Formats: sequence, C-alpha cells, structure tokens
Amino acid sequence: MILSALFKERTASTDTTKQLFEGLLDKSYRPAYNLALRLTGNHAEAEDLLQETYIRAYRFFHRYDQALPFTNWLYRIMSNAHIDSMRRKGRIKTTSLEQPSQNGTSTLDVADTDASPDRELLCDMMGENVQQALMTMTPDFRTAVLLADVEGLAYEEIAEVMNTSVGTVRSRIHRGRKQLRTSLLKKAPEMYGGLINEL
Amino acid sequence: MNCNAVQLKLTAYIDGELSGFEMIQVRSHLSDCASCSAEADAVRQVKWFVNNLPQNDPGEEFKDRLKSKVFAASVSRKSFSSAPLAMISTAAFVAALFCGLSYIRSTRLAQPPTTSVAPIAGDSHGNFELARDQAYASGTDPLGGAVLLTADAH
Repeated sequence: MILSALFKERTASTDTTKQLFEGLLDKSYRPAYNLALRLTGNHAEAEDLLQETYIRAYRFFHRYDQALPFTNWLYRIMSNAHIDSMRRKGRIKTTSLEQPSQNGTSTLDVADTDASPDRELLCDMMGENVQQALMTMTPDFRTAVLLADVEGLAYEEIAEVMNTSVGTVRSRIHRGRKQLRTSLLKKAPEMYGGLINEL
Repeated sequence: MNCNAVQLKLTAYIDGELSGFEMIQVRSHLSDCASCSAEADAVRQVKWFVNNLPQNDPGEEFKDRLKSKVFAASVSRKSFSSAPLAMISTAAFVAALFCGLSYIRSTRLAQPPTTSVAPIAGDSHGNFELARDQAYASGTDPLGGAVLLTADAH
C-alpha cells in the first residue's frame, strides 16, 4: 500500500515536469528553430540540432533554474550541441598561427568554408546572401553575432550562454561582423558596396 | 581617444554595451571623425542585415513531431537505464533462491541416518518376543536375562 502510494506520487511528479517542459517548448520552439537555422544554414540540420537540443534540455531539466529565462539556458545547450556536431563532422578548424591581427591578438581567424552550394537556400535574396555569409564565419563568431543581433541578448547573457567572458564575447562579435562584411562584399559588391570596408 | 581605440569599441558602442563615460568619449570622437563615423555606419548596417533575416515558422506539425521525438527519447533512455537494475534484481533473486534450496538440502543431509533394524528372528512382531524368550530359555540368547514368557503362557 505504501509502495502503491509512492508510485502514484512519483508518476504525478513526472507528469507535472513533462507538462511544464511542454509549455516551455511551445513558447520557445519558433525562435529556437530560427537560431538553429541560422547556425546550420539548412532546414534538415536545423531540425536535427533543435531535436538534440530539446532532448538534452529535457534530460537535464532538473538543473534548470526557473528564475532565469528558459531560452538563455536552452541556447546554451544549443550552442554546445552545435559545436559538438561541428567537431563530429570535422568542420571546426582550430588554429593558433602566430600572426597578429589588427586588434593585437595573435590568433588567425579561420572561417568555416564548408558553404556547400548544395545546401538548401532561403527564399529571400538578401537573406540568402547574409545566410551564406554567416556560414563562412568562424562558428563561435557566428553564434555570438546571432545571439546579439537575432536574439537580442546582452553581452553578459551571451557570455553565460557561451560559457565565456564578456570581453571574449565583445571580441567575437567585433571580429564576426568583420568577417560578415568581408564575405558580403565578396559575394555581392553591387548590393553591399555601400559598406565602407577597407580591411 | 584615438581612432584605433574608438574602432575597437565601436561594436560595443553600437550594441549599447559601453559604460556611460566610454559612450560619451566614443560619441564625441565620432562627431569629429568622418572615417570612424563611416565605420560605425558600416557596423550598424551589418547588424541590421542580421537582425532582419526572415523569420521562419516551422509550423504546428513540426512542433508535434519534435515533442514526440523528445519524449520518446526520454522513455527509451529510462528503459535502457533500468535494464541493468532489472538484471541485477533477477540475478539477486536467483542467487537467493539457490542459497535457500542449498540450505534446505544441506539441512536434510545433516539429519542422522535412519538406522535400519536388523531382521530379528521371527516372522511377525508378535512372534518376536516369543522367539527371543525361547532363545533365552534354551540358553542360546547371548544377552542373558530372566525368562519372561514360555510357550505355554501364550
């Protein structure tokens, strides 16, 4: 009888957790999908990334602090899942070539050049160009720029999501936007020639 | 503040992430420097492009599919994680059963064996005592003792 009561209580608690998670998923899946799409560049990979993100989120839901925004916590998981996926596919190239850049750092930015023309493109022309330019960026820079400019997160929030410092976030966004500008100018100078980029 | 220092802060300035004093410094420099001002416009433009990427709505069906996969993954993970526990429980039960049966068996074996009674002269229980007495009376009973019965008393 005691066992039966304990079983009922445990089942009720599990149902409550599931309902709570479902509610949060309902509210967050659209912006989360768009972020995943911008990170991966195509719908199929975006769906995979989103699925993996929510599976991990549900698995570790007991660690989520309900006082904090759910999407920030979710994006942290997504950022990690995306990096894991990139590493598995061998798309992350890490380098520490000794070449000082303009802001005095000694790391050469090596962009992700796996922008395959076979990838599914977005319908809007400008959106297409920007999305393709995004895919040429270093993954961490791309994540930082998207979190700032699409999700509107503050630098401190981005630092928490990416598990790094505010200074590093500022640097990634600064260098990420430079990469983006370079790529846009190369792709469509007539469209983006108004950008004054004298790198 | 020189141009190099300002351009390093432009991203944070445009994102509203500088402290009040730094904001004033950068703003003051931009008002006097055409080059840095143009650079600030370029950063704003890139920010605008990313901010205005089209938003895609994956739809309700996508959401339902996502949910079913998430919760199915959760269930399969729980079943898988409980399998070792079930195996351990079963093994423990079998071990306990085996120990119990062994104990019962060993308990039975420890009992003293039932001694088989040597056949006594006489072909029935009633004739046994008579035969014994007769053996004694005739002096063939090695144990000795008084004669208890005679053939006539029977």
